[in-house]
Amino acid sequence: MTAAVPATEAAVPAGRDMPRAVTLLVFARDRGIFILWGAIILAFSFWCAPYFATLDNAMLVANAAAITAIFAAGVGIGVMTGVLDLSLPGTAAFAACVVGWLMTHGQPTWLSLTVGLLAGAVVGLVNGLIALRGFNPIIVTIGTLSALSGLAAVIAGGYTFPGLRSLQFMGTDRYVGVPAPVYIVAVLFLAGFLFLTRTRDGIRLMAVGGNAEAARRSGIHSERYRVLGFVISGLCAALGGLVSTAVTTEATPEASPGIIFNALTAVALAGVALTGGRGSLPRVLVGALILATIANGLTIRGVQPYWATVLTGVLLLGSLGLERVIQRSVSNRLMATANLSVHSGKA
Amino acid sequence: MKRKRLIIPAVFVLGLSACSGDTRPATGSAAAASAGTKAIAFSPLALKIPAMKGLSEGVQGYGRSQGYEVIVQDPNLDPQKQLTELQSVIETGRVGGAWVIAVQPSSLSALVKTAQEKKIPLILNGVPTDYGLAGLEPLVSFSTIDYEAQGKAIGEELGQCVNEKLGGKAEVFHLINQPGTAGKEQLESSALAALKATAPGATIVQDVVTTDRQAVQTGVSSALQGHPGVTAVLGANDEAALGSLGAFDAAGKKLTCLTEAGGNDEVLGLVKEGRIYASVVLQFDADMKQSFDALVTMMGDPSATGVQMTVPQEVMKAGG
Repeated sequence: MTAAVPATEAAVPAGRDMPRAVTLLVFARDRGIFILWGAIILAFSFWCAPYFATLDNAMLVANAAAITAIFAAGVGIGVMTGVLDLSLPGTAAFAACVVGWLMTHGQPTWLSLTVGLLAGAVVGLVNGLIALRGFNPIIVTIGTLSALSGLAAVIAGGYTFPGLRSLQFMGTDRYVGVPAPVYIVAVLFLAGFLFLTRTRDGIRLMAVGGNAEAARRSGIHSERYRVLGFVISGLCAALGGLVSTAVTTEATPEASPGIIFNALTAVALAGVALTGGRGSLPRVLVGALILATIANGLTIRGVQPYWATVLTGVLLLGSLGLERVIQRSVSNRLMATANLSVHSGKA
Repeated sequence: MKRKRLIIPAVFVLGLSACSGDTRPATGSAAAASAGTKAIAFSPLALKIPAMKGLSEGVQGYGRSQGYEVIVQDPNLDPQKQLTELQSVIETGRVGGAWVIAVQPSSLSALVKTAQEKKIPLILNGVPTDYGLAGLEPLVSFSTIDYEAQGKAIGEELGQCVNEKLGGKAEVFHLINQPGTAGKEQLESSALAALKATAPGATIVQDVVTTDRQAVQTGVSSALQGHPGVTAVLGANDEAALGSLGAFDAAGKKLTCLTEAGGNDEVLGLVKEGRIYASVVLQFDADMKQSFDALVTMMGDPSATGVQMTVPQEVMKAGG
């Protein structure tokens, strides 16, 4: 009889330990990307000494990550809303060529940029409205990608718009030693983060991404929010196109497929659920920074360029696998804890 | 909890910056020299282009023979990527000089100024105005392809072929470069003008954009459906020529007249076989040596004004 008590007591502490393990696993899932980035920085700091760990290089990494981060914000917010927008490269090229055309036809820079951004929003709106008619968003946006690439080439007459030097203020110029695109990214991510976590519309947007039907049944106009997801995605794509144009001072109609690949990689590294409803913009930013850090370190080291692609792919697969393992482990432990609580009569 | 989410990335940004301390190398060449390396960066258009891959291997071999480490980069035709990669090695002082075949010369304007400030010499393709410079300056030399001459040569050669083999009349596909390709306008307009002058009976019936070989083959195959009578192709580069030949072979048609600019080994073999009428070959080997030597000279004497070089080119024809 007396022996039964310790046995029961032994089972309860084990159950109490479960939440701590779960907490650690959830921490690894949510914060692992920051630790990974820190480890990568540390490794390159030694491997690429004395060139890597410098303030100048930190700015280069931040600058290199900026454009990927802008596109990744578009993809990320879209995905969290349950929308995968593959038309980003086309939207970027289209917006850039619209701006290029306007500027080379004597329009002021501010007006050209405004129209360029609006063009991106309109593309998103069109994508959203078409997708709402029951068409698969992936197919819709592939179609839009193709159409926009063609339109951009039509606007540019098959050439490019070179010499857009008045855009340098948001491209190659530095303010207090920090490249302009870094400020743009900072503002974009802060605004996006606050919108998604502090506003009613942002929270509803995430809810629609998680379960559109449940959101609809709770009285949220889920369709309106899905369109909003497309519009934000289009806006980010246009902004990315304009920043790219500002950096190179040339608007090109070529829609680079690498844009979507890098953005999706950053989003996947950040652990954003491709099923929607879960994700974090700061983690997306770190995803983009990880890609830029790897590319920068390998470039400085002079490693064969192909290895950067290999390493990025391996990292992506590894992070996906790890997330899967952690997620399953969390579920199993929570289930075990719940069972234990039921059988031991403790809630 | 939410606040932590914002703070953590900021801490890492600061952490990355904080790692810097005062370890930043002084500037350019001096830093590279002090680190005991004589490193040079080579940034071609893309290593997937066989001519660029061959050139990069040539540069590495020649550099090694001169005692230099050559870091080869692969911008993959992306001007943004090229800029970022070059910044990584120039602004950190990793290399003492760089040879760049720019995807979009205008995109490197700011980098050229930075390199000059850091006393890191550059060899660039094109001419000073392409990079926002008024003229030749210290620490920057240029090697340009004479696109007009190249275009004129392929246009004239195609015209001669049409006159010789097709009685002066032919429907022609014009394989054009992608938007943004360096020298696109000069090459294509001079080629068309030369073709018109040499063989007025030749008519361009369709433009096909050149991306890679497979895409060209697909594009030309499709174009042949609409224009089955085409017997001549004016090609902008090796991929255009090889893709076109593949498309005509697949369609069971004979491509009587084909000229192009580039001249990789496969193309030269086909010129010898008589399947390509003429190729305007850029003498990259000769250019590689003159460019590399000019870069080394500037590294030795940063005050010397840069020079303007031209990539030698030669027309190769069957039996020629």
